[in-house]
Amino acid sequence: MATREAGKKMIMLKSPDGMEFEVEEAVAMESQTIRKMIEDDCADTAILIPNINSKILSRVIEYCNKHVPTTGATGAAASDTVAPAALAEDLKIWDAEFIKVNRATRFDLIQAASYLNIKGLLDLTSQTTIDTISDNSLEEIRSFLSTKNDYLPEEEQTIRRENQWAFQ
Amino acid sequence: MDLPWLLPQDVLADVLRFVPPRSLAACRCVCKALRSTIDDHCLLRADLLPLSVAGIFINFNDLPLPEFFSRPSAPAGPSISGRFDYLPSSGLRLIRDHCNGLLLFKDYVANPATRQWESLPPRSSMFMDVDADFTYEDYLVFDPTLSPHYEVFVIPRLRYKRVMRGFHDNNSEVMEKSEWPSSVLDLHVFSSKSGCWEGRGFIREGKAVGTVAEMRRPHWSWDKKRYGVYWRGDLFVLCEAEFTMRISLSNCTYRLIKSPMDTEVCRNSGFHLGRLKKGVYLASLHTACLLMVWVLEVAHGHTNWVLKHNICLKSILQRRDYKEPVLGSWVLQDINFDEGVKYYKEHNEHAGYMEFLMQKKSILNSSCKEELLEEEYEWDSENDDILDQKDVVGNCYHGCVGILGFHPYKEIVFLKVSLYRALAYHLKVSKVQDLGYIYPTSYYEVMSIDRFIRESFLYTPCWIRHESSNGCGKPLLKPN
Repeated sequence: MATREAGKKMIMLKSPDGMEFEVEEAVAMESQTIRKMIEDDCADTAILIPNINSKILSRVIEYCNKHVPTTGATGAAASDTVAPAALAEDLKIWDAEFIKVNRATRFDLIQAASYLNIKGLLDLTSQTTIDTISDNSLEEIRSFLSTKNDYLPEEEQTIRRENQWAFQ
Repeated sequence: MDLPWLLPQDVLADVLRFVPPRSLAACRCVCKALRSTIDDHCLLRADLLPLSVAGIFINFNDLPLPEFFSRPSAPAGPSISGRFDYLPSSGLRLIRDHCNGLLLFKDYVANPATRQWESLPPRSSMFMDVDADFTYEDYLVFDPTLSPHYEVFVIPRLRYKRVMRGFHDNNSEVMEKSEWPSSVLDLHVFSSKSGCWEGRGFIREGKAVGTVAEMRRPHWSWDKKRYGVYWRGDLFVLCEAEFTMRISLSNCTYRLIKSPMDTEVCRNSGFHLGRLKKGVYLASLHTACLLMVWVLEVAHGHTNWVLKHNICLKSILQRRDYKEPVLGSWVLQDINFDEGVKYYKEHNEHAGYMEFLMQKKSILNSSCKEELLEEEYEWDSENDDILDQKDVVGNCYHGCVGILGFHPYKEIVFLKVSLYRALAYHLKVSKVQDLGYIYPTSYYEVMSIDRFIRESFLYTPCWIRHESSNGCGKPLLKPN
């Protein structure tokens, strides 16, 4: 069913709190999870998205709408008129605005991105966490994660030695 | 404050997938819970990282494909090859640089382990080899333990003489009198993250050391490869008058490190810059058999070359006839010969020379194998003089020794004896290991003009596959 003339075809997404969102199939397929359902013919009329409330789902759809024309094979034609660099710059600014949300919303978005398997959204929403983990010392990561070192000194040494290359 | 613990384990694992391997290794030390998330989801794959040497890629002059010299792997294992038939367009495949598993060609960056590649967009004509004062050399910067992205740096080198453009070249004098190195080093850089070439300026730290006129090479000489090393966020490149340029990528500065030896002496022999176990090393060979090795030491903000080894290789060279074809524990892929045979079989022409080459190949293949396996010679430094006084033994061919490269994780220097043999010199125990015969069979063909090794690169395979992303920019490397 869902083949190449896609783009016009519409898909209904339902959140557990009863809201329905009609979106273009191409937009919905930004989610690898939904793409798989469509490709496996599991999506006749409506797809129920469990665990993601309407508030978060609407934001996810907003993200996919914005990102669909620049990615994937179907979007190639749309971006022909605009320089790719300018388009990327525009998306970056839009992303920065999009992610200005409180922490609870951000964590909800991370979970939604993880469940729906939307790599770009997951990357965007977890950037703060990734940056903090990547750029800081062990003590700083511990305080960031509000966690305590529960290793004995010898244990920590052993674990270090398992990946000695990373500490040189 | 952030609390990723609010996330379910699977979601946290999804987030951690974006964290580079070096930081994941650190995270395993943070606490038990984080380590089990990382281990349970197999997020850290150190086995895919370029942490071991698989062999040496060698560009032989006049041969179209780079040869790969390595210990033959198990037949079932994935093999590394110099064929590069997955790259578009055939022709000369000269490796320009190697960094942590990626190879740089003129227009491509390729990963021989995953056979993935990406073409580089055309560079600005300003940085092509048409400049009056400079030639340009490319250097690859890639560290998959920190980032999946790579960068290509185009570094200018003064020509031995300005290329005159007409009789009224007014800029000439200004250029010759200008200071070297310049206060700002303008480099052309390709970033795989942005997918574009861009200009990047690096501010000089320290004083200029002379004028452009003084730094030009005194006479025309063969442009030897100036190797570069990427080490802890800095790119080190050998430059004019045997200075080493240290380019700090993080704070956009650069400085020069003075050569450890008198420039006149090193101009004759040249230096080899590379990464050895504990950092950045420099080696040179004098009077054909004196190997000197320095390590770069940083103390109180000063960087200096410190002499670590001073080794006479004469006795090693006198021990056997290295010209004799023999199968060692390491074997040259001989891809250029294989391709020649393939072509010959398909077209059935030039039968005469092909049969001659095949005969040469069979002599090599039938040579005594056991003799060389893992044989190690002990070097006794106390007997240095005695061995020196003994003259040439029999009719052995000694040839001249050159440096193939350094082992990045062990204290080993790889040497070549002329074009015939590769040796591994273990610095710590002063032992030499005969690796095997490196003379490409194609070189027996009389048509070849200049037979020499242009460049050689110690290759550390990176098995990380770059998947095409879905919504996160363009794929890093195109699958084949």
